[in-house]
Amino acid sequence: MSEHIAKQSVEKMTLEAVVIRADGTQEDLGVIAEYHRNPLRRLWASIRGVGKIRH
Amino acid sequence: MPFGTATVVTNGGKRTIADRLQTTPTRNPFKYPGMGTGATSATRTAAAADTALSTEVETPRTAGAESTVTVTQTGDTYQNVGTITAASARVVDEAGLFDATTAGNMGTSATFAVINLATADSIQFTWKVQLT
Repeated sequence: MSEHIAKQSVEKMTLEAVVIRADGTQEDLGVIAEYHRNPLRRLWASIRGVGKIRH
Repeated sequence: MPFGTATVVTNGGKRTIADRLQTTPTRNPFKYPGMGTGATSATRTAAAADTALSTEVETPRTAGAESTVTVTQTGDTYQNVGTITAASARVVDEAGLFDATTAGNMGTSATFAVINLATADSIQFTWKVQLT
């Protein structure tokens, strides 16, 4: 019987942010930081501009 | 390492995840979101070895709302939603999840482009950690 050792770790991690101003208005910044175990997905996130906050 | 956008489960977070698989865990869940202002000046990018934010603000922390959500497999993602209100003008560039209201262990770490807050502005952070 073969032994399968699967790589077990975090598949994906995201941090999203919504700024709520004191006057109640909200600014959805979306994903501000992201990690994906697949390096190609990380590259794609970089191309998409994850982390480039819009003000 | 220069400042950059990143988010990671820290080594302390991995330890907590493993610990909490036990029948009787010894470490507390990292359910308290925190934010800080020091990553850019510290030229720091979030890394697994992180144990604290560079300059944390607005403590003590308040627990976020925890749940599991489905991304690929049923309930495969931990989610924590928490709101932090600025006591004064802040230039926020780092955040983490901790296992205590003050100090404690940091289970996740993130650095990101600055978010400018005025007094009484808030940020609602939503952390999602998908396991596989």
